[in-house]
Amino acid sequence: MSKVRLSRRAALGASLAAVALPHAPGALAQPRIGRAMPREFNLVLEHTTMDIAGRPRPAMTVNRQIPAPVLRFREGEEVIINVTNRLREEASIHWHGLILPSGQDGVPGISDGFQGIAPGTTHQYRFPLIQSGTYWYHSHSGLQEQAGIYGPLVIDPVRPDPFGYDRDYVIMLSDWTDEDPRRVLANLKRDPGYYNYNKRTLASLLSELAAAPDGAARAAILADRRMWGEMRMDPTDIEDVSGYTYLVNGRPPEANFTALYRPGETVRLRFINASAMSHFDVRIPGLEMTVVQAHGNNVRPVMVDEFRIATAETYDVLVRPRDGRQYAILAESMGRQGFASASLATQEGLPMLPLPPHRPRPVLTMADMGGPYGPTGLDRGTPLPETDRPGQVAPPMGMDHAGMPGMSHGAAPPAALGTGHAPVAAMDHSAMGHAAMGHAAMGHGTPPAPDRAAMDHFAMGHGGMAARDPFTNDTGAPPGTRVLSYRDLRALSSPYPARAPDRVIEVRLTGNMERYIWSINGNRFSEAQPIVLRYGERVRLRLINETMMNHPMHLHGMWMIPQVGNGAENPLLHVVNVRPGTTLDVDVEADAEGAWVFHCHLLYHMEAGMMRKVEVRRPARTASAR
Amino acid sequence: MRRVAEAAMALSFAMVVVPPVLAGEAAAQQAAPPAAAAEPHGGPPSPAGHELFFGAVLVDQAEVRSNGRGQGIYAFRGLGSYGTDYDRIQLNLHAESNEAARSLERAELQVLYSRLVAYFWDLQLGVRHDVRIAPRGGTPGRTYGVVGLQGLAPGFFHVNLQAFLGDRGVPLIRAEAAYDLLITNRLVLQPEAELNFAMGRDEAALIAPGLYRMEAGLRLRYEITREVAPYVGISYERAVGGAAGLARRLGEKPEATAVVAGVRLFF
Repeated sequence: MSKVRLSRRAALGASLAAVALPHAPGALAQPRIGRAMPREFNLVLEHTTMDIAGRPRPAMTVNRQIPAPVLRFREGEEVIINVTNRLREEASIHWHGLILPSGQDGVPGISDGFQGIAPGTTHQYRFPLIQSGTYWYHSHSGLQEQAGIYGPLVIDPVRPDPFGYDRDYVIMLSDWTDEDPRRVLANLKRDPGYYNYNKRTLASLLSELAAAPDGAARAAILADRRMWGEMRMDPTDIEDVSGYTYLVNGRPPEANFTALYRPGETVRLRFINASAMSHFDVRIPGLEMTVVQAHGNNVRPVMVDEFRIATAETYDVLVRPRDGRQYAILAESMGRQGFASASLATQEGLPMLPLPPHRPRPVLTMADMGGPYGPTGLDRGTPLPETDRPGQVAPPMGMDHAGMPGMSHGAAPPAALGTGHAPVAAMDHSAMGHAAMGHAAMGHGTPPAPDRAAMDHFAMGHGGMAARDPFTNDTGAPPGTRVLSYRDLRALSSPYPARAPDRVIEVRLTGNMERYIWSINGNRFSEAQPIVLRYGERVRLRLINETMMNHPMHLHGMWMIPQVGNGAENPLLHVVNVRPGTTLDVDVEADAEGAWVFHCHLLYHMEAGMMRKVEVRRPARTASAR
Repeated sequence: MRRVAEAAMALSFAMVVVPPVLAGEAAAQQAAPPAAAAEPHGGPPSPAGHELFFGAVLVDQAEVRSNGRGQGIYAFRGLGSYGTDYDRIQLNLHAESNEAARSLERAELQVLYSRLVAYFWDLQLGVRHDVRIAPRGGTPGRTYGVVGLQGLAPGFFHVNLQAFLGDRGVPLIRAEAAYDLLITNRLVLQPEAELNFAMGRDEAALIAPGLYRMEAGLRLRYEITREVAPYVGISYERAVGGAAGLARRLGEKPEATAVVAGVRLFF
């Protein structure tokens, strides 16, 4: 009975964007666990025809809308969510970033006892909310997320947030394609460059040569082309999929979603990147933003002009527009293929501000060359040793460019490294040395005493050379622009005191760019063993990106604490973006028993195999006593 | 004033689109606890660990060849494959029509099992069958076993190396290479070459020891989409060495140059 009423209401709201009204923090009565009856929410998954980019296309929706409705919970309460699957296929809903029992996590075949929601059935989720902040929820089955099954999830805190604001908006970014997502994956499999129409060409070579200042620069351009050709890699491979329409709360830029403000008010914007495959660089020209939350957790306020939001991340920012102007909220895709855009304005219905020209499209350099580093002999966390499967780890290429001055194996002193390379070919020689000398040179070949002393791995670099900084985001912003990095994030209150990890688990992010195979430690999900953690231990995941793409790695059930150098104030994140060719240490307190997953949140990377089961087990002795 | 603003916003924005039901109703519907929580973990093996199957069809050449005299020749070269990342079935088809008879001049079909063995390379095993075209004249039917290596060589060269052993006992080797030179992101110049070698003599099939046959082509295509790309170009083929003499004996010219026009298809 309630379902009928709810779905009717949902249908009425189908075209509405998912945004919360301003609310007075702390004004709502907070039920305590066990006292109040759980509130109940109903979600219905359906095939729906949606017109998002100009023509009606099949989509998958929650309560007939994209994005799915905002779920607004209160910290401390228990909720029941009934998910009815009216799709023709198995489905699921995962509560992204929530700390909850494994059985409620919603990953079919992984989460304890959860086998997915069969067509025509209703699954009941029930869990307490022990956190607050901005999160989201989405399907964890196949490619349903790309087809539209994603929505915002906001948990109001028991105690007011340590910052004030007058208005509160969800800004959910996403990427919509008119193509069938299964077709997209098939296209990537048969030609990983299928969607890339920005490859280097003869025409671009000629224009580069024409623009080069001198002969040395021209030689460097040619050498760079030759090097990439010999490696059989594509430096323009920034985003795998194109043809997207980028959305804010389900609306393309022309529809100009508008967040209202009155001059002088403080507006909280809850940015959620719900896209399948896109990172965004976010800015609001003319306004500075104060980042107050990252991934749902309060951080020391940090003022920025722009920030990069990797796929599946969330950031809450405050803005204080003082005049009555209209401001553009711009989210430019990392590959510069388009904008998601919205407005901050004092009234509804204004036309969108003209979009600025795109920033230059990034081009990969040798610094983005990561691997292969392994196998290097560290703990991989699996019950049995694992070896790289053939074809999943790039061969040691780019290391023997006979014709390339300065490219020989580290023997050349840095001073001898290529005059004339740097200006045009944009090769980072320190990082080149890093690639050339390899990870093993650091001493991984012989298992070292695990560097428990919270040594900053990345700072030490590979082979004694400075490795590239995994945190700085080069968004192409003008000099002086404050761009957020993970290093700026300081947790306001971390439940975990700083301590040394009990062990280091090496997690190499691997893949075959030519075949669109993605894997972890040279094994796709379908063939990989789980990573097994002991309940109560603190492990350090050493994330080594051997590929040339960004991988926003997401761990279910537990926070990741990237070692950004802020000690006990290192932030708690549910997604950590690992840039190409970088190594990043992430600590995890294994305090959530059960089965979880750890995966790249680029949807097609996950589907192609970049996922691992993570099991947190109590030692047998205490398991029976439990 | 504030409430007016809120009401106005409520018209255009949904707050919590799914309202909670009454607690009493919730309790009534909540007779049983969620089954999932009761299950022990480490249960049945993960059904999520699936292999993806996918397929592709590439018709690299579907073209008319003309040397300016007489009828044109129709030529087709394509492949289809289906399988997983590691294990695939691949079909290669290569056919040419006869200038005079408007029937097939040559047709070769390969059925291969393809296994990814290295980052850029597939090892392939299978059979090749050359169809006998005309009962009198033309080359006879032949069947060979095939071992091949297909992949991408440094420099982005598409390479296919194949060794054939037939019932006649004459081992053959074929080396093919092609390169996509991107003039722009849609205009692509593709040079390609094929060399055929024999370790023995099979006169009926116009095979003589050593390099016996070569082909080369240069095609300029425009990718309207990745799927459809019309092209123009030139093709050259030549019987070499002893095989040239065999061809002459059949009254064929050992060498042919043609202007080609066709369409490349990729699905």
